[in-house]
Amino acid sequence: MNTILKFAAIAVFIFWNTIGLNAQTDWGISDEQKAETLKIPFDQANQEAGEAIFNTQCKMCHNEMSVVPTNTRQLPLSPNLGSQEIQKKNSDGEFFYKITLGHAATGMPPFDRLSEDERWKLVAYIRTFYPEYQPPASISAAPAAEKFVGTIKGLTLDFDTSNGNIKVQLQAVDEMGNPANAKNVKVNIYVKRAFGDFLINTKKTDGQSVAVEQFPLDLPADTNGYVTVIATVDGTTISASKEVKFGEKTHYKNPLDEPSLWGPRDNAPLWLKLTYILVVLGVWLTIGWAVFQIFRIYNLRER
Amino acid sequence: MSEIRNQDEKAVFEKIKEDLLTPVKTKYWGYNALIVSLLTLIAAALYAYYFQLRDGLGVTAMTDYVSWGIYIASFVFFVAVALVGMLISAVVGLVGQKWITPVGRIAEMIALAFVMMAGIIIVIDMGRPDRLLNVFLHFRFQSPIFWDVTVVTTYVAISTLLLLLPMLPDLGIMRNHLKGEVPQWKWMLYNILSLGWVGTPKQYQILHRTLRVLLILIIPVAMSIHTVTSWLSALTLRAGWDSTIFGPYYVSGAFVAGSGAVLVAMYFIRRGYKLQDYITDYHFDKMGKLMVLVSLVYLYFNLNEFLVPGYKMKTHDAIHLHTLFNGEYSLMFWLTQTFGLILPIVLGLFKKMRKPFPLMLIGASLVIGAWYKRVIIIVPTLIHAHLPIQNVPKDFTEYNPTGMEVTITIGVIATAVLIVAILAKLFPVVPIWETAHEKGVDIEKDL
Repeated sequence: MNTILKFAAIAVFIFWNTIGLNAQTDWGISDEQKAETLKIPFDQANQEAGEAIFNTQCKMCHNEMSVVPTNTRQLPLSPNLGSQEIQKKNSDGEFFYKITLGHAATGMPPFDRLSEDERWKLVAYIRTFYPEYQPPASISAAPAAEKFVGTIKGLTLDFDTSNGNIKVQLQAVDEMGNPANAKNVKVNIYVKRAFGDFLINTKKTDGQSVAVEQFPLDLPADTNGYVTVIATVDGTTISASKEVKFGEKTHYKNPLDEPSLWGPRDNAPLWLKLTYILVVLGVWLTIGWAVFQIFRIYNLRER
Repeated sequence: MSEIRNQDEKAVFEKIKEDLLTPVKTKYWGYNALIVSLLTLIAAALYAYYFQLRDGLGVTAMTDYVSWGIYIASFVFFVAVALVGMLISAVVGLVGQKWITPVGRIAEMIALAFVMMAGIIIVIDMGRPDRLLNVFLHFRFQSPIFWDVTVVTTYVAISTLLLLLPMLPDLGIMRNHLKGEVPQWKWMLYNILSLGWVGTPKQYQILHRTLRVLLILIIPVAMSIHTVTSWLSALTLRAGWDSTIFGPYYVSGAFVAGSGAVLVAMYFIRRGYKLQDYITDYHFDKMGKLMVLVSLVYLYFNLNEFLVPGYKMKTHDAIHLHTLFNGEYSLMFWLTQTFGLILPIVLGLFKKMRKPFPLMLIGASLVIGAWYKRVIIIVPTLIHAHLPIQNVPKDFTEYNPTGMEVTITIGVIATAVLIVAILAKLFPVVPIWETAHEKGVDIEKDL
């Protein structure tokens, strides 16, 4: 009886899981949680902060978001959260708790390691892909930051190797063509990896056209200790890249430098050389001995 | 009484000497025809080789895929046949079999000739033979090709000694008795090679001891020459070669090929030189039994080599095995297995079949089968590339040797036969002194 119950339980569990997987409905979120609304102002600062979090925490699975009627990415791909269907179906609270709790059946991990504020910022960012979105009226949005009107001419990268700071300096002109400070311009800072550029962070320039970012110093560098840092101005083609001695130097051990069977001739294993030399020497000494015996026979001829 | 005995002994010895030295002294029409035809084949091969030297390996059918063709297959074949010297003189001889006396020297002659041609055909397989020295200048201790060069050289040296040393007493006899009966240069050759053999007890003692050491030494050397040859293929990951039993598989196959070659040589030498009293039906019977024994061992290894991967049919093995079992090479494969293995075993079990003529046919079937078997081992594996090339030409995935290639290969085989023929004409094929000893004649007094 017990066994039958166990099997039945497993069958129900599998059935439930399969249904859950297909329908992707049950995330275990209560109605009160669903009813919650955005707890922070739906303003540019929060949206951009959310984007930065999305880029490092979510993008590796959810990829770029784009405004589309329905999601076309099927499991095991994570859905495009820019799908209007998804945006319409989920309340702010549902987004928030899905991020918080995760969903084991689909592979979505819980992100409770992010602070509540960070999670709300993510929701704010996700909502920027929903043109019909009405932010809760109770929270007033902060005025949008002043947008730089002018032209970015170029950027230079500088490094402070003592503390790992990356300093991006923009060169810009105003509408009249006079040199100007570009404030609040988004700068993406990447580090070059083997198969692409890895985004470290997105920063905004200050009043001096400067964005500063701390390089993650535990990132592996090449065998000489160098990494290539790339900075781009968001929405333009302006970029700069530069090598710098940051991160942890990679200590690459070439297996060909060790004695091995697959290595070059100079790295033949000692045991192999010894075996070869001893065996060949032994055999040829015996052959030499036999030839010497022939001479002994010859010396016994009748003179 | 002892006077009569001495008279008797003398008569027996004279008879043996006369019978066994006649081939050395006599001119044979058939022998000369054989030499001329072999030289013609060799001349054709040299002419073809001139084109290969001038135009490179492009004159062969070898491509980036099938980079080992019938040259390397013949190399493996030559090494295989050469192993018979070790099998007869050392393995069978050291376990105390007396019947090998008239067979041992033939086996040694075949061994020496074939192992020399094994070395030659490797050079022929090189597009740039002038770079041969690089093997010694820039060798890697880890490379099986370097090991192969080492063991082939060693085997040539030991085989030469094993041919020369047991011949010393015969050479002494020939020096003493053939003066004036053979051309002067021949006698001079015997005189030099006999190394002043006079047959003192001390000389015999040295000879026996040296022979014993060499006969023991040649067993591991011969095992390693063919094991290393198998490792040239087996140390790769390719389907059909990636096998742990390739060493013993090659060695046992070598014994089969070698026994076949000895049977053929025995038959024609006995017929041509009229040596029916010395190479008797008894010797053929024994050789036939030995042939069945080594073929059974080889059959066992064949079962392991094909049945075990054939049962599992791993992706790449399956492609290879289908090529052999029911694909492109199936006809060659099944004919080889039938005529080169199954039939000789079955026929060899019958006493009626262990007569000289049937055994010669079986031996020829074994030798031809052995050559095709090497082609089957080398070529089909290469046809299915381990790392395929994109947009590969169609003709890369097939291999049909060109006329040039075939001519050169036949020429090298002819050279091997020529060397055996010359050795078998220059020196007595059946040891005089051992035969006399076995008949109770004390030949020391004669020398």
